[in-house]
Amino acid sequence: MANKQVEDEVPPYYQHNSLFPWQLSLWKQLYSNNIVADHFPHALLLSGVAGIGKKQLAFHLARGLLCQSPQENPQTGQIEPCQQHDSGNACRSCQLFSAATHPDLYHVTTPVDKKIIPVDDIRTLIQWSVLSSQLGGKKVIIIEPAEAMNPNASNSLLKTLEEPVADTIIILLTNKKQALLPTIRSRCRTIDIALPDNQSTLLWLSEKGLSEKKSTDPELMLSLSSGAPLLAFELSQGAQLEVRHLIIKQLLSVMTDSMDPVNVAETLFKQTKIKPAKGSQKKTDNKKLLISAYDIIYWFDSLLSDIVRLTQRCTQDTITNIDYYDSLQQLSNRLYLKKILQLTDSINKAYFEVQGQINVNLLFEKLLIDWKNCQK
Amino acid sequence: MKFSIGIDDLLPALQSVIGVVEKRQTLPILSNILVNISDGNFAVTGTDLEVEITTIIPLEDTSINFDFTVPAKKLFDICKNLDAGILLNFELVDNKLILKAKKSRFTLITLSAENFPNLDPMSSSSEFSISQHDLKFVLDATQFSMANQDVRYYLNGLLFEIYNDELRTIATDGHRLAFSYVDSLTNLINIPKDTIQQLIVPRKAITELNRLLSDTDEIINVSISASHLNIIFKHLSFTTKLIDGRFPDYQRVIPATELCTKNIIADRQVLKQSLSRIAVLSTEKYKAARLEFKENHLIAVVHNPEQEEAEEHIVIDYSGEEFTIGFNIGYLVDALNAVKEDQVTLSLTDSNSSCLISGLNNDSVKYVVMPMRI
Ligand SMILES: [Zn+2]
Repeated sequence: MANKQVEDEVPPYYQHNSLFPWQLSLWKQLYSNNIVADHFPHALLLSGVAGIGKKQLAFHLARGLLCQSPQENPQTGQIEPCQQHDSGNACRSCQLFSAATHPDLYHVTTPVDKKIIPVDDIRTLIQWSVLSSQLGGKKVIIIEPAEAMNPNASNSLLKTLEEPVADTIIILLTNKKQALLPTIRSRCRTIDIALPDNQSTLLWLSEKGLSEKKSTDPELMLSLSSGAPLLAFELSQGAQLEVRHLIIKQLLSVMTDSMDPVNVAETLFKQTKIKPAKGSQKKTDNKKLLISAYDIIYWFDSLLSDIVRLTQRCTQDTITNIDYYDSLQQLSNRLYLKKILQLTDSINKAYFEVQGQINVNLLFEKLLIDWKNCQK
Repeated sequence: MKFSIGIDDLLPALQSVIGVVEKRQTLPILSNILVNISDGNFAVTGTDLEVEITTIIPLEDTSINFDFTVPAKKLFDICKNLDAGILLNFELVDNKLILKAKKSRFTLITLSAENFPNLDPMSSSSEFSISQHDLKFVLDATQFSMANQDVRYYLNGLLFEIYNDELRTIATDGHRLAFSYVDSLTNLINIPKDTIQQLIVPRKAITELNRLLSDTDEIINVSISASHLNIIFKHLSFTTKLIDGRFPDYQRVIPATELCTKNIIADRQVLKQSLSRIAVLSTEKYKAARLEFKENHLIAVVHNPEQEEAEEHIVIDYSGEEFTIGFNIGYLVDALNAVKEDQVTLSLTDSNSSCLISGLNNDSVKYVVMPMRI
């Protein structure tokens, strides 16, 4: 039997049931219809916002392309890779895939702690890609995120895209399609993956255990994640929710409780200086909540956008922070729109400023004083 | 499950396999080796997904059957440091391998053998036998001319051509070409008569294979499938993937001897040593040498960008029109190193064509070097 220790290390997208419910029709369109006729494109670009399961789809496509005996699933009526994964019932390919040791799958991603896929990694990949396959079937390459390839890496890959190797399929993933070289895009069949409709996502989130009672209201989670199901789920599981509450409460206190903006700025700044407690991300104690300067700017930005919408007489369902609707609605009547828009500009600059060498405390003070001065 | 094996048998077996197990692996399990014990054989397999090597040690006890994978480097380093001649006891408890020898004891974590991506037994299409000596000869004669990390990926390997009882090897990096053959293949199976069969063996596999070959008459068996090449030694099996591509038509590059109007015969050692001496003043970037051919006389000159100069006068056997031509001096020396005859011939069709180099009256190796502008 498979070794326990290894199984623990295998990421979920290597599992045979990794597809999400909202991906079934796309799966059918991409896989089931093509695999029978052997019409799969040699290069595929899966494009869509973060948090909709592109990686899961790509790995499942890879599993399907490599499977040695795809069969019709009687439940769905679709051609699918091996379903039976109890001992010995999957083909050799599906078995190795599940163990993340498939020799004909090549996964390129950014090296640990790096944001760029270097050209050497693409060269190594190309050297691999021109060799015959190990199991005698196809070879599949997954590159994600594709926009992380530096220009040299992209150009190296381009040559391979221009002269495809037989029986080798490249799947690129991106949530910034425009950041890719146009020549790369034009060599791939692009699939723009839309957000699933809110109703099915809400259903899925409730099935995953999200509920208003546990203060993980699916509608709120989805709203905060701009409709991306996996982001909504992730948000409900981590400390990010409490980080958000803390930041928004501090920001609103300047307006509603007439708190001194300088004091609030200092409170927020101190919060960004907390060192992570070793081995725990406990979220019960606000004093120990880990907050980054980026988080503060992000939620400040989100709050301002909502207020702008509300001053334009927009309805509740168009704003992001729906749980603060009442406070934001009242507030929007008391603020100068012009000043809010000026502040939004400063916030946009702040995204970059906090990554640099700026004095963050002073930056927060300025932003919060401007915030206070938005009042009529 | 327990068994024991002599360290004197185990260490050489691990030594042959460890070369393909890389430190930096794309799949973590590839830093392990697969140990498979069945039918009285202890087999160790290592792979980097390009080359796979299995060594086999016969066991006295034929009743044991099991397999596991274990970190290759750690096992090898443990065995290397044990005293020669001792017996090493293996015991597998759950996912742990316990090794005991005299007063030493080691526990290693194993991974399941079924997830190890080794090759299934190959279904070959053709087979032949050859002596280690002959295979080594054709590899040594050509491998130095293979390209390295060229975008024309089919050049980053050695072309094997099988034609009746001939095995030909061809390598080129686009600036020079090496050709060699032997006609000593035996036990041909499924090799169609008068038909050329081509396969490109990757560069790394050639290096690894050359390490395994020795200059003996021992016969080895070679089998070929559409995607792999396998060679069976006495206690070792070597398998490599092939490069999926078309090698350029090399025949067009080799000048036909009957068309060569300029034919020079030279003493190989004298020519090689003279060229090696002046090569000292060539640079990595600027390797050109100017060769002035005169009646029974060759003047070879090397310049470098620092305005330094080296010149050699060499006695040759040549009668004909005087001419001057430039070549990469490194390529000339490589070719003269690989030829084994005392006398070499240099043949050109005209004064700015590529140069064909081979042993006098021996066409088993041929080198073609393209001219350079000087
Ligand atoms: Zn399968």
